[in-house]
Amino acid sequence: MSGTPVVIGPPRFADRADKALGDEALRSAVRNATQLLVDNRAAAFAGLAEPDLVRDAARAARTRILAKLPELLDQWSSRLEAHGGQVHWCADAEEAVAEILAIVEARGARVIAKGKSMASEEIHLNPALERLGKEVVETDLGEFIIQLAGETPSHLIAPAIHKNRFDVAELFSADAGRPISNEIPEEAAYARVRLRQAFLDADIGITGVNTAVADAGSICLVENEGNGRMCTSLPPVHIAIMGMERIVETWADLDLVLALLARSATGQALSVYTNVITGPRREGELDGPEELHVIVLDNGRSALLGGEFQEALNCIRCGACVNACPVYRQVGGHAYGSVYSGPIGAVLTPLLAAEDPAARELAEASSLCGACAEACPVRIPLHDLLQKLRARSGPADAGRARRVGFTLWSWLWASRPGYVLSTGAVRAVSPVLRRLPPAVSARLPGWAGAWARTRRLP
Amino acid sequence: MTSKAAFLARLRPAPSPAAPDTPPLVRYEPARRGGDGFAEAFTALGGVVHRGGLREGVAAAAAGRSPLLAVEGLDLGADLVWPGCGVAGAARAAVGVVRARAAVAQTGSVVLSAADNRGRAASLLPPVCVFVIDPDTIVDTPGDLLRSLAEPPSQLVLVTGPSRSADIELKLVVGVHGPGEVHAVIVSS
Repeated sequence: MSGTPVVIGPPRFADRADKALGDEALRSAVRNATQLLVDNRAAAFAGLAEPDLVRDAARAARTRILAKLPELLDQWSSRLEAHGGQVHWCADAEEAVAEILAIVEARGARVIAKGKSMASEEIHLNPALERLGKEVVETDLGEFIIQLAGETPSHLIAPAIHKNRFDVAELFSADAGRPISNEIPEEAAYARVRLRQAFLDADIGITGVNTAVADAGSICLVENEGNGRMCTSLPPVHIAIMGMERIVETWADLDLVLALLARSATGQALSVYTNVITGPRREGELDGPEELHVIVLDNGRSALLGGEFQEALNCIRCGACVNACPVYRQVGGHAYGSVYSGPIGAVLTPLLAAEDPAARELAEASSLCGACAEACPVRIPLHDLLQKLRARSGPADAGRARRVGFTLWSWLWASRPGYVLSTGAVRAVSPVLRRLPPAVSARLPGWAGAWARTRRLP
Repeated sequence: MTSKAAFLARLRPAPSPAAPDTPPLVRYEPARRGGDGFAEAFTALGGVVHRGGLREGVAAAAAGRSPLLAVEGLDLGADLVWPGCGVAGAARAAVGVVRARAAVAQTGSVVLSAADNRGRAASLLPPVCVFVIDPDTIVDTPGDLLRSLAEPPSQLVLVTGPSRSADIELKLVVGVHGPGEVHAVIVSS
């Protein structure tokens, strides 16, 4: 599988995290944003009469749905095809990109308007389109900002969370060729006018899918700005990229997901636009796409089915875990080096890119505090999955010193004499360690020095 | 591309323990019901509700702004009529008036169908949108609406308030791509 993660900056998470920790502007932006989203989520959940019941029901529904996944995908696609939709089954990122490029070329398309789609980032679609000389315009305000900055999203829901309005004014002024004010309403007004023309000119609209509905053959997209509606109404072709697990069976299931999604993501009861699309335009409709293509993406997801990590596929991509995570809240999304950051990113990235050590080490980007599992609307036990991931790859990836250290430690503590000997030795040395001046103890090798900088040595 | 059969053959999920197939109904706190509930929720989102006649409601919503666009079949003497005016006409309109298929009291959502309105742009391109809602079509919850959907149209949208974004510093801005001002005219058809 090509793609996730795309590591920008130093190759190790610890080094990227250190870099982020030194960026006070970034830290302040991430801290404020995540706290606001956490508070908003809490307020919104107070609007549900029995929130835990709804979460339990959603978890049960997702479990039932995944158990029937092949059957539901089959039903859904047949129904969508009966309404004139076209479904493309793609085993990996390369296939998905190839399918999309084929549609683009067949239509002779030049301008492509994109709604927010994490799956499209996962398969690195934009560079492939740009290499063919296509003009790709990101139309979600946050995605538009980071496209101008040449960056990747730093948060599942608010991709430009790390940029402040001065950064944005600079980017918009360069784009416009004239000064754009740093007042946020002015910046939004600029984006509205700038992107309106892209919607009207676009040959193809590309979006993601929040969830498909099997019973009806529909796809559901939620958004707040209206750019999703624009991308799915104005251009003559709509391509929707869908992770294969993003499906529910019934309208009742969709109700559960919708009751939780916006509340968990932004604290709204519902996003402003909940679009339910069931095929291209029909007789008598003046607008709407002539062609609807749904790209169904596997790209490593099928490997999780039937295994101990299957629950990671329950994710509805709300970002609640990201906002709750003490690691994310300190360093932001770019430190993860993957399109999926925060706890769900730390679980999915190693699973979807299992052969990449840079992906595997993300399972270590956690203190296992469990705040993520607490926040997750579908109750994915993310902290348990992180622990399982570490158990799986830890021994293979551990450096020599670590392996020797752990082997020695477990050998010593496997017997009573070994235990007594080792703890006695530490007790004997302890008074000396405690009296080391801070300047010396902080320079002890490896984790001992790191420990000594903020804690007392044993 | 992989064939559907080959793609689905690779999916071997774990079987699910027996669980009820029908999820419980979602309940809300406080619960909003009927026309009054809808009006309360719609207003809380920043929308304006007009009761009384169709023409009066639309005139109040438009507040003299023009050109006025209306979907065909609405007797309003509008400057532009959709779909005849085309997308270019919708792009010029200051106010767009469309028919709602239904509304949801709990969330203040308005349900629009591409079938009823013969398309989408009339409710999307103008900066002000007026929804004409039959009070008999107002249901209590999103679940009620979804469960009543038999054969969905090519596109159905639940519109819950004016277009908005908080992508810059998480500060709320209203009216980014879709209409920034929304009105509901509640009249029996």
